[in-house]
Amino acid sequence: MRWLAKLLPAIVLLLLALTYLAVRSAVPHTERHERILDALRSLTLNESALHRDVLRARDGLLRDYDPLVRSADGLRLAGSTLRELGDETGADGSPDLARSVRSLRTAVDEQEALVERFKSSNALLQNSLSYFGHASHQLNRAEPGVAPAVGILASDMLRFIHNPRRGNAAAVTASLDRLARVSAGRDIAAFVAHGRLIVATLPAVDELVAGLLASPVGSRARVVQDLYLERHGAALARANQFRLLLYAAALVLAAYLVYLFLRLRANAQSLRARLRFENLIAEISTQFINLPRERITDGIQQALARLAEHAAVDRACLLRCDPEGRRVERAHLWTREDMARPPSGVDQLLTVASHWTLGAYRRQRCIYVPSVTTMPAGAERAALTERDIRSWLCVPLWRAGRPLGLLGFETVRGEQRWTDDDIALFRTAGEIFANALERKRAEDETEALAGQLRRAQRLEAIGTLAGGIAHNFNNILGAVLGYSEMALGKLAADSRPWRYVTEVRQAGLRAKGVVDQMLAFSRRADRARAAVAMRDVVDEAVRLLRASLPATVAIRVSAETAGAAVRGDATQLQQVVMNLCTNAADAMDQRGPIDVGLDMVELAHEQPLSHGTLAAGRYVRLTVADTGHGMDPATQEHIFEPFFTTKPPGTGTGLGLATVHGIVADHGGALNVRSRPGAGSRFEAYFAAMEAGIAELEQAASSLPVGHGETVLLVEDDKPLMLLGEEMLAALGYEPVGFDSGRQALSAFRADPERFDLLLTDEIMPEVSGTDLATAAHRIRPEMPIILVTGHGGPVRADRLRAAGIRELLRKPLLSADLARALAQHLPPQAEPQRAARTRGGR
Amino acid sequence: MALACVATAVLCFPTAGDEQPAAIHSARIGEPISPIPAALDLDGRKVRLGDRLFHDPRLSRGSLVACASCHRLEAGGDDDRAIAIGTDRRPLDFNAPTIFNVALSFRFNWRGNFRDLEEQNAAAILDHRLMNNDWASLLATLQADTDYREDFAAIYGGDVDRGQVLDTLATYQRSLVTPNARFDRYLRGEPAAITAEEEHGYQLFKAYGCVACHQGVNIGGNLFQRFGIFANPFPEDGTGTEADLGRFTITGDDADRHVFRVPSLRNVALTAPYFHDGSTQSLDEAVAIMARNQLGRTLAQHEIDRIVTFLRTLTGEFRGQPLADTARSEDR
Repeated sequence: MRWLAKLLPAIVLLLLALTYLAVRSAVPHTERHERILDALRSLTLNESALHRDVLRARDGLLRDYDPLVRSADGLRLAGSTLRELGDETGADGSPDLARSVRSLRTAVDEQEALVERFKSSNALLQNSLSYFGHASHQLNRAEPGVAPAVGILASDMLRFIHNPRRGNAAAVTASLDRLARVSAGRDIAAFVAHGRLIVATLPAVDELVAGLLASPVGSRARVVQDLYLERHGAALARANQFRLLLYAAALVLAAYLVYLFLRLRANAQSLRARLRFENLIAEISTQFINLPRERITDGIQQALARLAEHAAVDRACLLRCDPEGRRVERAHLWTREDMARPPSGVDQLLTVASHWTLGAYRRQRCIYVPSVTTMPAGAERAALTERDIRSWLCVPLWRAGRPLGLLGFETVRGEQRWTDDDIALFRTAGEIFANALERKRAEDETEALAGQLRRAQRLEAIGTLAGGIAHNFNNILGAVLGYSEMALGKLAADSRPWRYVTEVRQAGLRAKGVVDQMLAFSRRADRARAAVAMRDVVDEAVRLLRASLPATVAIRVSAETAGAAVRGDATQLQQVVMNLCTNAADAMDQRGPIDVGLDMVELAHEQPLSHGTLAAGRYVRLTVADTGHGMDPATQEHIFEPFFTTKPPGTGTGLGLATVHGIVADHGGALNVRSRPGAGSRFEAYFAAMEAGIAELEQAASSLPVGHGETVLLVEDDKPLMLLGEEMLAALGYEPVGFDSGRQALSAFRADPERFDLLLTDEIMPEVSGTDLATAAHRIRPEMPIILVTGHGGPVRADRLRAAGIRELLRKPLLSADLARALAQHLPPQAEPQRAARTRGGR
Repeated sequence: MALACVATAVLCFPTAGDEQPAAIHSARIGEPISPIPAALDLDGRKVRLGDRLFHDPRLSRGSLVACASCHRLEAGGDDDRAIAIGTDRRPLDFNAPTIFNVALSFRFNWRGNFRDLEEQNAAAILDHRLMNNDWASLLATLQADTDYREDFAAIYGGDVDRGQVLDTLATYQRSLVTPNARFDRYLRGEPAAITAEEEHGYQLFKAYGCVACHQGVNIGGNLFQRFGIFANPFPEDGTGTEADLGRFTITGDDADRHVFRVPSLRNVALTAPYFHDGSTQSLDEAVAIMARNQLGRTLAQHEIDRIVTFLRTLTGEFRGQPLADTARSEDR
């Protein structure tokens, strides 16, 4: 209703204006005009009639005065009709007309007075004339004595009547006097009296007649008429002007009506168009809702085409960008069928849109450029011109405050205008696309996570299996290697048995390598962690690889960061490099370049990778890229599984990449693989970067330390291994006391705790576990260091270890180097060596 | 050609057109007197309502007199008195003139001091010595009367007002014409309507100059004339009344001294006594006085008789009935 209140004054004003025009354009008082003209005519006619009747009455031709009365009344009536005019015109500022009407009425009044006097006098005159004529005739006959006097009188009177000059009047008077003297008869007296009356009255009557004929009524009536007609003409002209104005107003209103009609039609059309647009958007929206994930991309393409066709644009694009809004991750493009494909460079559109500076082209948070040619020069115009764009509408897509991409419409062949309503609808469409993209992304992510979970579960299961197998093999290999070493010690070098045993030992070592890899994969290795300079690791590995790989494989190293350090096991990390490179060389059939890269990556957000997810943080990224066969997605799915191989039988163990995965996972890192069949592969290994870990790197590995006769309590349920251990300890310069039973060992310890400097025990034993034994010993001698040996790197809880006084864990098979370093670390250093010791085993 | 003239005349005299044929008729036979036109175009409802008002004493304060009290239709339209009597029971200034044919006169009353009937009626209603009323109480009286209220409302709508009262009264009074006098019939071409003697009287009337003033349709009533042309009818010693001064008392013009409206001679036989002061009861005497004073003649009795016989042919009919002075019929 507010619009009505706003409109009401205008309507009232219009009505007032039209009414004013209508009133002013009316011919002024037609009826009154006729009445006044009638009155003026009546004045003239009655005046003429009066003149005629007065003359007739004077000559005795008119015997009654009714016509005179009627004429006088007529004049008077006309006069009073005109008085209205006079009053009115006097009031509205025509003093001339009012004055002339007044003077006309005065003349009418004066004329009427003259008429009255004329009637009275003329009645007497006519009577006397008639009597005189009649009487003179009779007197001539009746009284001959007076006949001459009467005759003279009659002739004098005749002369007087014809010419009532003063001289003639005097003559008549003289004759009358004479006659009166001659006779004093009654008839004569009357005759004389009438004669005198004629003499007295006739000039007066003639004067009255002259006065009446000279009455200014006629001329004044004409003056009034002229003035009135002039005024009426002016009023008529004014009325005509106003009628023209009224006509003009009618024309304007009619034109306005036509305009309103056209606008109404245009509005209806645009409403219909809008409705179609809205329906289209609703349809698209519904479609997306029902679309399964794998068809969303097609759906987007289709919807984009429909939208673009409806909007009658030449090109449309839907770009999805990374969360930083810098890179186009996915582009849906549509181009009108009969048009050439646009030059590439949709990425540039994203850049233009995200760095848009021209605020004048912003509409509803969209960018709307109706005409590129009128844009101010600058990067934006250049970018749009490069794509031949004439009009551009860009709807940025957002999701949870982060850029998601953009929806763009381009016209090339002409310019296009969109209303704010259209833009709002395009925005709605943008929302729908954003939802679709987001849904696609979310569902992809879910799918990827599900895949990862599957892989992780599979690897876990395989790992558990492999771990179990490896543990058993490890123990077996421990015996094989230990006894072969001992046998070698007893055999003469280069003798035939020595060579055999050497082969046995070599085979055992290879088997141990496999078992180690399996353990590494199953993360059962528990190696000491130290700060490792990745650059050194890579260089060392590459040096070894160059030696082992054929010359047809070129390894190019590009390490951006010199000081990138990782907490970890240098050997294992080295193995990662070596395995990846070996794998790359295999993928290229030992021919081509391998690019090994090392750089730092900083992630602001958690980022999903092909195999695993990285939390936010700084990472050292090791990249190994080849130009080999590449892999299809199905292969990529399984590459990190143990014993999965694409190589011909016999050439690969299927453990190389599994080991890499195990090591990387063990270091809290993750792997990312990008590969396409025929386009090579790119492996990225991410390791958490160490802050300020370089100092630790100074700690260099020294030569193998030896003991000084310290007594070591060795517990190992496997008797041969126990014996092997004693051998090793002895070889390292320690005094071993071995037991193959935990219980015996404990009772020996209890018998004389101070006898032992260190406890070295296997974890998994039938009677008492290593940990329990350690706990008991620790309770007795808390200061005594305890080292636990385990063939199974299972979940040993650090707190339990600490509680049991266990200082270090060593893995089976027990190696002299490891053992030497561990013993030296945990036994207090001795002032002087009690015994020189050398390992006897080959290293 | 004559028709064309008439048509032209009608066109040229829209206000006087309806009386023009009578004038032509009169002129054709060349007589100075014309008959009363028969047709009257009046609203019958107004005439009837005016009739009642005319006879209603409530028009006067205290319901003392009606219009008809002095203008008695059965007594020739006047009161038969020499001088009319006011409501204060004292004589007024003039002899009451007849109400009949009043519409045919150009002015009213002896001095011709009213031009139209409404004006005259209003003056009569308000005059202290006549009806002595005022509009407020008169209109209240009429409004209070159911019949009047309804009848006025039926004609005019709304409440009774002054204009309505005057209009009905005047309309009624205009209806009081007395056509078809024997002399009128004579004029219309019925020679047998009057006797030879009466016709002789008419000839004398014309020949002696009476007709000089008493002419037209109303046989007088259309001009002013001084009373006393050849002889002075007023007392020489200055004992004359103010009424004797005539129009002079209105205009103050010396030329109007003793000037009166020439009265109509229609129904003159019924309107005795005569003259402005009702000084003469006898028509014969009135004729003699007029001849002496106005015409400078002394008429012989037989001439007077002839003229009087003629004057008696001027008595017309009212509402189809020959007019008679029933009030005085016993005297005669």
